[in-house]
Amino acid sequence: MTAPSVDAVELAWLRGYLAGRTGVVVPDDRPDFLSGRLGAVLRAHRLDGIKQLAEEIRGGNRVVLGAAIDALTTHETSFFRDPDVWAWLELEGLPALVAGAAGREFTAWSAACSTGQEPLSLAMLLAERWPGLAFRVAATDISPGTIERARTGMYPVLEVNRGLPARRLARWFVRTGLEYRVQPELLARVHYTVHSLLDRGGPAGPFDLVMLRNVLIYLGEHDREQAFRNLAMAVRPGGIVVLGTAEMLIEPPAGLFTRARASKTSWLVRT
Amino acid sequence: MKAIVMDDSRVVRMMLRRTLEELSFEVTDFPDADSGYAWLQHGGQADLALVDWNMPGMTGLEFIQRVRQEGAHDQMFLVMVTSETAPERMQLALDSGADEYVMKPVVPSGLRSKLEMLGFRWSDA
Repeated sequence: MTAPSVDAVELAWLRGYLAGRTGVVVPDDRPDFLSGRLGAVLRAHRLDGIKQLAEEIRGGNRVVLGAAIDALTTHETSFFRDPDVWAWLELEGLPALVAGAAGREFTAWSAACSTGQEPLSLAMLLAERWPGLAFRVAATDISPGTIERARTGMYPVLEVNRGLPARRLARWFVRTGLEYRVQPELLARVHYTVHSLLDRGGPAGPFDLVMLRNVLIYLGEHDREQAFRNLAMAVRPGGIVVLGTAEMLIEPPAGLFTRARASKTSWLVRT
Repeated sequence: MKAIVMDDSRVVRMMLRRTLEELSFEVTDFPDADSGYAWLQHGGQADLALVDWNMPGMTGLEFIQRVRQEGAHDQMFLVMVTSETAPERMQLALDSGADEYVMKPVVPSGLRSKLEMLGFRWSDA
């Protein structure tokens, strides 16, 4: 038997430390996942290896820490991801919520918004279906680099090809060089901030709708419960939380939400 | 489900064919819009047509305009697959009767997502 290498020791430390910061738990049996993701950080910041990366983070280098968080948190997303969920929102979910918000501003929160496809999809839908509606979409992500990109409102062809109906692309985007820029009036409806679901505070609510999709599955049980408790404080009674399609079996702590279902989707209603 | 593909690039045709076949389509492909159009005129039926814009002979836009004007294939979805990327061109294709618009380079997941928008579904979704 050989002693674990320095890198293995440092990786284990990073795994624990980043799990504490992000809630993302990388299983012990997936060291390649962690070192693969962090490899990009090493190259980008010209670090000499995992050991130096760990030292920078321990030394308080926030730039490197931010980059490591960026690398570790998954960013897979697309405009109108999961068409069944959006169809339900358009035809049933939003009409009821918007009617309930008559006489005041409609508020939504895209939690873990990645590079902005989800909050922009929601803003497009609201602006198209309810012209003149006063609404605001808060959008947060744990990763500073991701929020910085989202704020530019710029998307490469590959992104606008995915999930975004051509009619919406033609209506809401202008081409700038090789990329597409979302119209400023739409971008202005979305308010981006860096925020962790495990922290209290967060964007100013209360919200009629929170979309939190494909995040809780990456969290451990304790963090999941904390995220639910933080969410419960942000959602207006009668307001709803939409989770990811793979997350329908996740049960929130008792007393905060009730579950409702339609044919192909389910959501949580704040009690 | 049946699909036709019209593109003057053999590489693109093969890529689209493979992607569609993985999505359980039965695919017939053509190196230009004229032959695809002729196939439809001779009784060919499809649920979906992917057509390039710029090809020798009939352009993809002309193909879409003609098919929509004739009205014999109203149930067939028409998708422009092209390297034209200006939103004005996109709007022109949509106004001419295209149901969707995919910009090259095409990736399988992107094409699948466009087809889902048109209502196509697969059981593994």
